[in-house]
Amino acid sequence: MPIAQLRDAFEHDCYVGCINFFVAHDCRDDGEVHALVFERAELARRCRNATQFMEASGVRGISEYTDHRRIYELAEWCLGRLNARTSAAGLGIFAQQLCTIAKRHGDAWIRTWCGYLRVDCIENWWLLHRFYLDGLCERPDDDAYYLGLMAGVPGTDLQMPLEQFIRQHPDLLEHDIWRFFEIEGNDVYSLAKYEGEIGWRDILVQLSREGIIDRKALLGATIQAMQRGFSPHRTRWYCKLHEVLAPTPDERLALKDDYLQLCNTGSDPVVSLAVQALTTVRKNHELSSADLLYALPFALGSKVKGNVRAALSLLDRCLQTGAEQREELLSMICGAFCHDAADVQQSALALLRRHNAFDSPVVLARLAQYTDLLAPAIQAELPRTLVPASHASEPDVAALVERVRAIPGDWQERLDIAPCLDALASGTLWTKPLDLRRIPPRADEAYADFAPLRNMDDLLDSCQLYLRDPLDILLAERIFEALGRFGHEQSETFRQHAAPLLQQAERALRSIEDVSLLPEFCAVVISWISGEVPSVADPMDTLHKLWVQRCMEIAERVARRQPFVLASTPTHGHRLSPALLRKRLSQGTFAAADLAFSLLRLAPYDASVINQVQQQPGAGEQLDAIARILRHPGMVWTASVYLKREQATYPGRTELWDSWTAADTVIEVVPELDDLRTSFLSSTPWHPETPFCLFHTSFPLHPEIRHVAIGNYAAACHAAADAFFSRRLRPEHLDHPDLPFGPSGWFMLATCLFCVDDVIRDFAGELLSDAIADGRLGADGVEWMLATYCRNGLATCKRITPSIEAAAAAGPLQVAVLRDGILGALPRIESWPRDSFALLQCLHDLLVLSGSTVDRQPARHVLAGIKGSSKAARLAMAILAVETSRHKAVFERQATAAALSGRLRRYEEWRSSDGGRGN
Amino acid sequence: MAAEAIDYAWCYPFASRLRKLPQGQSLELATGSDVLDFPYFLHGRLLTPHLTAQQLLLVSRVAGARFYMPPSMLPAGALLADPVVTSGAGKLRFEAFSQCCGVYCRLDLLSTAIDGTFMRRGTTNVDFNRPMCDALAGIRPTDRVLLSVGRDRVELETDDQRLLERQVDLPRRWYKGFVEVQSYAAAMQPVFEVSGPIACRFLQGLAQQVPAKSEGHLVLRQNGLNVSRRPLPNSIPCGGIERLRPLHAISHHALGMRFYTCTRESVLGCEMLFPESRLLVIASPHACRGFSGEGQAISHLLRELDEKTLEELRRHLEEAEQLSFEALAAETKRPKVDLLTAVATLGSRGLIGYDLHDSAWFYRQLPFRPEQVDSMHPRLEAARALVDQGLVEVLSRSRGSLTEAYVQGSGVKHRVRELPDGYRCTCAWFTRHQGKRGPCKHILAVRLQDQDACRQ
Repeated sequence: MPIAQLRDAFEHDCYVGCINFFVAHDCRDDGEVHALVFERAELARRCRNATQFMEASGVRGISEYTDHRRIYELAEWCLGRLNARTSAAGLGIFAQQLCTIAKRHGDAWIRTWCGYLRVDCIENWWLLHRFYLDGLCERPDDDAYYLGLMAGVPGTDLQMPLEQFIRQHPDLLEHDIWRFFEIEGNDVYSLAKYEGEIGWRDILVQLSREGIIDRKALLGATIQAMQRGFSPHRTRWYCKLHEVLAPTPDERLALKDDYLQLCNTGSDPVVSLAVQALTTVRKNHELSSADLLYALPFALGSKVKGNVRAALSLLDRCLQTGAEQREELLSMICGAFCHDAADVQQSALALLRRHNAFDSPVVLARLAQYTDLLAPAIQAELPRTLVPASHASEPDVAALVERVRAIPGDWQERLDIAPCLDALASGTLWTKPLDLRRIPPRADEAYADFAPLRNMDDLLDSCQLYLRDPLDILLAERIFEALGRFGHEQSETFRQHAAPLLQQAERALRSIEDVSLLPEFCAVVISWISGEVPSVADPMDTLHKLWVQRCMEIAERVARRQPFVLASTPTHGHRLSPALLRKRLSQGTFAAADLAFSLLRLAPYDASVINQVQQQPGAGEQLDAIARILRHPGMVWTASVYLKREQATYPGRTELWDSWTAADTVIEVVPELDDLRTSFLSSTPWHPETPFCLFHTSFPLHPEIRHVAIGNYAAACHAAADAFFSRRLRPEHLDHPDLPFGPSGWFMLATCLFCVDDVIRDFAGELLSDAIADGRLGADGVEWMLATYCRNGLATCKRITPSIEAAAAAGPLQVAVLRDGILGALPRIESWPRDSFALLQCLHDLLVLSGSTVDRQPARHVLAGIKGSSKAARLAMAILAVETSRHKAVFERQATAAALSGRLRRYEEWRSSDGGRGN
Repeated sequence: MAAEAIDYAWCYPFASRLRKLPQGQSLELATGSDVLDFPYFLHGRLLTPHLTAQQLLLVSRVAGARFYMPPSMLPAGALLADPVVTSGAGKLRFEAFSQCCGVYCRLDLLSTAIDGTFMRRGTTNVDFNRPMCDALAGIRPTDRVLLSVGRDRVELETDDQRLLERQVDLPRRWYKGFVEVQSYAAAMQPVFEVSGPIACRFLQGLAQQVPAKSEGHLVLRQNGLNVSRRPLPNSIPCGGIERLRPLHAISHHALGMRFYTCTRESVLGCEMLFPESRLLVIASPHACRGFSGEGQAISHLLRELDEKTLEELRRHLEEAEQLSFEALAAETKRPKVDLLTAVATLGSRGLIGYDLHDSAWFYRQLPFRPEQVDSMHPRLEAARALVDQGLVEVLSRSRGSLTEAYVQGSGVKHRVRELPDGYRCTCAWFTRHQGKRGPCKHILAVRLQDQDACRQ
């Protein structure tokens, strides 16, 4: 009986059996088959999974991991039912059979079905292709159809090498593969994406070698693809294909106009290819001035050094041959000054000089537009008339000095005003950083930065806002603090006003799937409004356990609708004032999580005090507050301070190095839950006040390294920057008075400065500049930082120098400090990194800007020791040859005035924050 | 959920092309129409052909660009990749809007860029096909290029002059964004201007990859333009500034670049200045955020002006071609509030654009029929429905103005309050956007109710 075959196929979830049955039997009018198929299909649709279906139908042969509905949908399709959801994915090997069945249903049916298939052209590629080959539909024109081929769907579905499949299908060779050069694709489907998996490049090159596809057409197609403005990383694939095809000199010459045109595409990889190709063409065929004037402006303004250099070389050659439009060509060279690398600018300037460009007023006029972009060392080489007006004008210090003299005596002493004024009077340089330990913290009012919520409306609004932005930890703290203060004062309208919030919190709690801070916050909100504490699933992630514990403690307290004090809520500057904490601690009893939080908020900034806790209880506000926490019966803790000596173990060797977080402190707080100890020391930043935890992150990418630090360096940098930018760390962390430049400040600056990410390094430049401007960072700090990092090879000089240059652009004080920092670091860098020329170029610029020479013997010795013909050696010679400039004295007075101005600003900020109370 | 779309069909009498002539080349841009009336705007000679060609290519590139694509989304076929051209006020303007609805680009060719005659005023699409763009890329500075936008006589009989039909499903958000961007432009102010070389270096340094959501602050320093991650004095907020990277392709021709910002939102305007032309780019606050749904003009639309008044104002603008707000007020002698409503209404119908450089509105009728976009502001419609159904419950008034009300939401009553810094609502939409994308429907309902009460 035929139907028995179908039952058997259904019983075993056997697609082959099902399809073969329908190929062999046209059952469109067979009521028995209809009944079987549609009943089963309906039942399958009603059942949520295969297990449920097997129980309901009595079928036993289906894997519980398969989609039990699919075979019935296929059978329905065979009987002519059109269902937009039926997919042909993965059934490529049955293409011919399915076509046979489809043909029975008529053209209109097929057209409708093809419409459905085209919704997902990629998955259904093979069937659409088969329909097209059999004349059942027109060739699909959707980009997705060609992406299906690009992604190798036929190869996967037919279990046949893709190259073989293509060779067997002339239609693909004649049409489809050429569409590859018109369709960019996306992050998931593109030629670049599938290169590793499929190797389209090799396939096309091989077919071209065999003459199956036209080589000339292929070269032309790559050029057209390069003109289409695809994203650079996808365009690179076409560039590479073009180069792998290795055009002969004749072919290149024939494509000359295309290459000229490609130079204007605005895409760096394409311009690279085009300029290199033109360089090759030029070997056998001179390029005209008109060609170069048309093609090279963008290449000269390119970010890629190689493009600029190649363009300069082409121009040089053209000028040597006595080209026409000489002035235009020379003017065009100025475009290279847009590049920020001094060596590139140097090459362009040398080219101008070589061709006597400075005799031409046209060129000089053009060059004048670019002088501000030139590196200082290059500016010094310009013709005298073009040197930009010196920034070294005498500073107007009279008003500044008058304001500084008005600073009270004790503050004058703290800020080292007297030596600074002496230096200013004598015209010498003064860049010594402040001793921040001597300077009292800004006395902002408690809550000044914390901005407590004022009333119930604020509280309700803030709760809603937090549900949208759970990373705003400070907002959560403000909410918790307000709940403790007036959350219990619920008016008659409270329930109605809070109803939308309750609805949102309940919805949020139901829909949270990921590890998040939200469930416990929702629990707090629900408890507060409804008076009942909802149950919240235990978080999988131990990182959040302390947070969870604290939130649930708060939830239970708000459910009671009584006022309460929260020991750990931060106050001003996102920190907890010791005095306030002591006061709070005297007001009641606190749970362990709350106390642990308060200790964390308090402790990281004062290692020495914590060290002395057990010896001198009650010796000060902070100490007293900590002692009170420690004496609390709910608190079991250990606290220790690490002056870290880091150790990294690589396969075969172990390295020790002085920790660059030497001043950093690590507090282990272990309240009752012993596993928290691990959390603190091995987690990414989970809490705004413990940035040092970043340094103890684990090594997912480098399991071979057993200890933390170097291997996870980039990840730590990213995490630190992420913490800062997502507001978990705030700028005031950079300026804690109790530690020089603050532990987190050092951390932030150093990690950002040496990070792999350009944007973060730009930010580091700003931090560096600010830190120098207000006396937090001096030359010693810069020296130590550079010596530490460069010595260990943690960061390349190329990576560091843009930030230093950006910082130096801020003013003479920054220039002086950074110059001295680099000079100090030179003798401490034992083995020079290969790209040391970048740092030397920066030093050269700083020396020129400050008009000074290398006056430190150790540094001179190091520079003199750099021998050879390398770029670094040439720079070292240039640095040693720098002579004292006449504007040096003015520059130094400017720098000293800037340092004085920074000190004044610090005092004035402190005074304004103090509210006139005096200290 | 599939995006709501409007079906837009139009055609061109011929394919735009760059034709070789004995005396040079002729760039023939085909103007489109949906009623077989193909306008003829201009005929003349391009005075800076290479630059103009590069600028047109850039406009075309922006029109076809998708600076943000949600992960794993398949690239849809190009929406409206043909720019919209407007002839009038002695300028030829090419407008384009990116596929991701986050970047608006307009090239204003001044009359000094063309030695020729403006035949008539008007707005329509121009065909920018691939072969023509490829040919445009080949135009050299020394080439002599004639430009015609449209043709004086269109003959469709010959075989090679077949009508080119185009049909796209324009997402409503694309159209809304295109018109919404004008209200942003009107609220923008210039902040700083830099020279061409500085602009070139700045654009050169921008990353090629556009992050979905990046925040930055553009600041002018001694060493040029920088993007800081912190707000600094005199900095302007700029999200997804990498979207300006395509401008690098023509920056070496620029005299300078002027930056504008909008006080309401971190929308960035950037105008590249050339001797004979200007290129304006306006970018949304983030790459992943389009201009549609911003709802900046919706508050002005609460008041309804009668069609007669609107028509009168429209005629004024059409006749003048370009008018500043002050000039419009002086000419029409209408109250400012009426003009704001009129400008918002005309803007939402795609009838006017804003020229940042001249601080003036210019008349241009976007080539979409307004009836195709039956409801541009669903929020406003929903608010009207709430009022009509009596779902706004007034709680308190102060000095005749409504200050607190409940508005029925789904399953819960939302509370709307008027505070010194504006209205607040307890709904999820308001919480998410905090008024940055215009008021929610509950706030609009309360304001409508208040307006009705005042009228009575």
